[in-house]
Amino acid sequence: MHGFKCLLRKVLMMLVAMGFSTQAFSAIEVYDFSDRELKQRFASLSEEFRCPKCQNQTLASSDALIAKDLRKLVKKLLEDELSDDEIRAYLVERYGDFVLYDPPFKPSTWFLWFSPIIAGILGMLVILILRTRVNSQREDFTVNAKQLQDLINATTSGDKSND
Amino acid sequence: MIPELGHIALILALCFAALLGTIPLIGSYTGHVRWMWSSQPLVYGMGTMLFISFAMLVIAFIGDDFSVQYVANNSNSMLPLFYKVSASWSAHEGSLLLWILILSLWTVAVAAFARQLPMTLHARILSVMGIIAVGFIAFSLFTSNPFVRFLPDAPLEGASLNPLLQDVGLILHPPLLYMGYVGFSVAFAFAIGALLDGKLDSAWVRWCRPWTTVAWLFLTLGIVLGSWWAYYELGWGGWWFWDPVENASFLPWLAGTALLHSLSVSEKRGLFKNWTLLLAILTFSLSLLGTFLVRSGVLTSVHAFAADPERGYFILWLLGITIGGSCTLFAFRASTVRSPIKYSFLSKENFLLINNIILMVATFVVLLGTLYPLILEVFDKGPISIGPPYFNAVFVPIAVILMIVQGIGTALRWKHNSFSRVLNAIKYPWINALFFGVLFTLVYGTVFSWSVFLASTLFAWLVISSFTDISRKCQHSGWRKGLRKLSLSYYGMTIAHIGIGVTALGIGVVSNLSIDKDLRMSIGEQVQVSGLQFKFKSIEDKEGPNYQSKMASIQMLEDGSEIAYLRPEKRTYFPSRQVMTEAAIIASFGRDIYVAMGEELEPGVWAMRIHVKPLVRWIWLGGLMMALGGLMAVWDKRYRRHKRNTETQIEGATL
Amino acid sequence: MSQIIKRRWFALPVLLILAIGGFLYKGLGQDPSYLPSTLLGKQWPSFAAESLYDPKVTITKDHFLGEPALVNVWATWCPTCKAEHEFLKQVSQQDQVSIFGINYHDDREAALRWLEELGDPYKHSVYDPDGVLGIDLGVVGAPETYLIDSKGTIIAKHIGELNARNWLPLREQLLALREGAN
Repeated sequence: MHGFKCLLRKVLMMLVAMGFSTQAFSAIEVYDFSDRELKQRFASLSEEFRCPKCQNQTLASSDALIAKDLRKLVKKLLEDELSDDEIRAYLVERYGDFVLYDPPFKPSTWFLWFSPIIAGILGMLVILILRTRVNSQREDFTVNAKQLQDLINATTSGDKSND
Repeated sequence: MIPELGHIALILALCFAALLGTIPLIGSYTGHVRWMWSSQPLVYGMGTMLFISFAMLVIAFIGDDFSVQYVANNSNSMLPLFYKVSASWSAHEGSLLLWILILSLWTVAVAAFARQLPMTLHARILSVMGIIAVGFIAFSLFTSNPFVRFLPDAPLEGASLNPLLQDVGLILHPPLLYMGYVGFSVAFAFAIGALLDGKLDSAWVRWCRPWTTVAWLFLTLGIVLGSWWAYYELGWGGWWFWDPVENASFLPWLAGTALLHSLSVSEKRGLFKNWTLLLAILTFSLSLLGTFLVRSGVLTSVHAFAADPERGYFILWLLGITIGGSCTLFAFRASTVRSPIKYSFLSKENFLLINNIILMVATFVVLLGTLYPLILEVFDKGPISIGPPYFNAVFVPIAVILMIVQGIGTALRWKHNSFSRVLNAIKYPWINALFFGVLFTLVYGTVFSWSVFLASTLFAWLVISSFTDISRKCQHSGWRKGLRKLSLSYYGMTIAHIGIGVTALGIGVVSNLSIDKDLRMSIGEQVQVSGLQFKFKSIEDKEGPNYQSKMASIQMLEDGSEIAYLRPEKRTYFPSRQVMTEAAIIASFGRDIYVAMGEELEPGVWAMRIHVKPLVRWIWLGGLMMALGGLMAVWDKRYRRHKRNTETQIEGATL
Repeated sequence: MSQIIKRRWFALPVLLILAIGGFLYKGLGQDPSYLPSTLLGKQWPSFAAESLYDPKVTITKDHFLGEPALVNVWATWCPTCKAEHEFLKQVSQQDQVSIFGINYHDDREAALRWLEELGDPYKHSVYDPDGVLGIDLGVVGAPETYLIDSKGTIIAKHIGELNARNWLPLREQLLALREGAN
């Protein structure tokens, strides 16, 4: 019986430990950079990359081992005078597009990038089509008995307030 | 014994729900009044059973009954009582039970407060809610039973609650959020009722509106609270990350906002009725989708519950039946009669339509961004990540257009407005807003930022256009009489609209003018951040009920004189030994000072993160204003008076 | 007078729901946190690192070449590595395959003690205390196991514990490589 208890406790502890590896938050580290501009680029780059191991966190906000390594790497690459794009390419080469929070523009993401524009155009079309319909109705506009009744109802039961 | 009672109560609740889902519905077709009225006892029976069930779970938590697996996994005897109670909804099983309990609360509310409805409609609405309850209670019982025991032998101690969740924010966030999510089930049930009736009149809209508004205001509060919680608890100073789970709560909010507006057109002008029905279905569908995304593990998120595909399949079927069924019903039963009511391009109707379409585009964009990684995975083109850069790039322009349209819409009358009238109405608000924007950006920020300019201009535009509208409405009768004549719901709308501007200004300013500094600080050292001096006085050990902590004392000075003390902590929780950063925040209307502790770099030297976040409170203040506006709209005499009238009518009729 | 809307338009939401539902259904069967290697079919990155056993010995990519082999990323702090250790020994004996180890983010002494206590399945172990080689490989954590062919091309990658069940497909690929060589 006691053995079983121990086992259970171990299992529970393991579950907790597993939670730990993914749920460590807020990495606060101090990096010394030779100049301000590098420091700023470092800050924005580490916000832009996704920690490959974590649930859904940026490199900047994760305490995971791999995130620490990658932050060090980004710092090193910055000091080696790589451009932002070169650093992005460097990480994508090793970890894939997954590390970029800003999805790249390529055939598989065309739909993603174009669809907001398409949706916007469709939205405008809907408004226009409904307008032309309403306008075309207006031409044969005649008041029939039912509408008159509706109108009376609307004015009598309608609220007097202006909203 | 207690967990078994809870389990039995849950089973009985399932039986009540099953009866509720059938008998009143059948009665509504056969015309048996008794069958229809059976909804009342069935609803109360279901509610009571679910209440008992949930109470038993809470009692199991308070009593440290670690023989219950769910308790053992999420609680610990060292946990303060407060958190033992809230731990009961901290993970999947318990939060699902809370979800169901809240569903039954809404059902009870509809049974109790919506008696003015025609009997058949009332019976059908309650039956629909009963059917939803059947699905979710079955989901709980068959895949996620919180009362399962460790048998024959139980652990002596529990694994404890994730320290992240040991916080007031967690106590309130899920109940509020669920009140919102689940509250949209009422609008959904109303829509299904109307489709079954084949009748949608303005009375229906008037009844449906307050329920939707209440659900929406709870969802707003839930989202605000969640954002605030993330801000102070996660230690990185962010308040929104476009995480799938955050999006899951934002999607029904967007659709619900559209629903509120289309309901107003349907009530006032009898237009867009089909659209309103479809939106009611869509809004609740998105709530369900959110539930699915959080609980199925289909997407990775910081906030998602532990993944289990079996649960995922169950809930997906549930979703498919509910949403697919209601959409099919819509396809067969929606009215094919096009409304003959006319409105011109420059009319409130049309601008509310535009508002709806913009909100739908926004919903679509957020939904696509959330699901796109999944879609690519299915086509084996993944994995990719879609994060803040994408969402900000596509959502911000939509929001800007929406706010511009919003201000114009406020100035418009129903039916028709002449172009010159509209131009006159918006000319000065625009000029003043631009003036304010330039002034604000130059005076407030150190450098000219276009984003701040945009945000402040839009803020001013919404505020000024709202006040212009009030003054226009008071033009004829004079201020005193005019202000009194305006309805409470009008004021509610105005406050909610200004709230949008307040949030926008907060977001614009905090995203562009925040100062973040990660510093190395040794004890006794003083640093300067944004005109303030921070002196690292000391570090001491502190004992909490279930944690040990290192607490730093940092004196904050301005021009040499002390303003405040900040005490950030680094806590180690037991028994998990999880380390948590407790940020120290000095909050004020104008700016937040946010200090979080990192690692000890060498003896006496610590990494510190100091943020100065201007107007960050405005983000949530705006949300609170929206919720307040919703509350005022519901409080409006219009709905209450009407209720009383019809109640007396019914009484008169039955006497 | 009132116009009639064609009912077929009302079927649009149903179609939309079916499409989204289909994606969700397919998506449920997949692990969203699975990160496939970008190096599949590509050459093992060249490197030069210390041997775990002797800091003076430098190991390069050439050591891994000559026959199909497994490369296992491991560390003493990783409980799953301990769980699969016994199985690795079994594989190296039964299937007569060379396994190279990459000791990832670890302490040399602790690692050597671990190999002494639990046995050493590795033909050779590379010492990678800072995870530098790991980054070039796209390693996100330990354990990970790679299958490479005799020329150093990466054929497959397995993330997480290697056990009898998930070894089977890798083993088949290994046998295919050997057959191809003959």
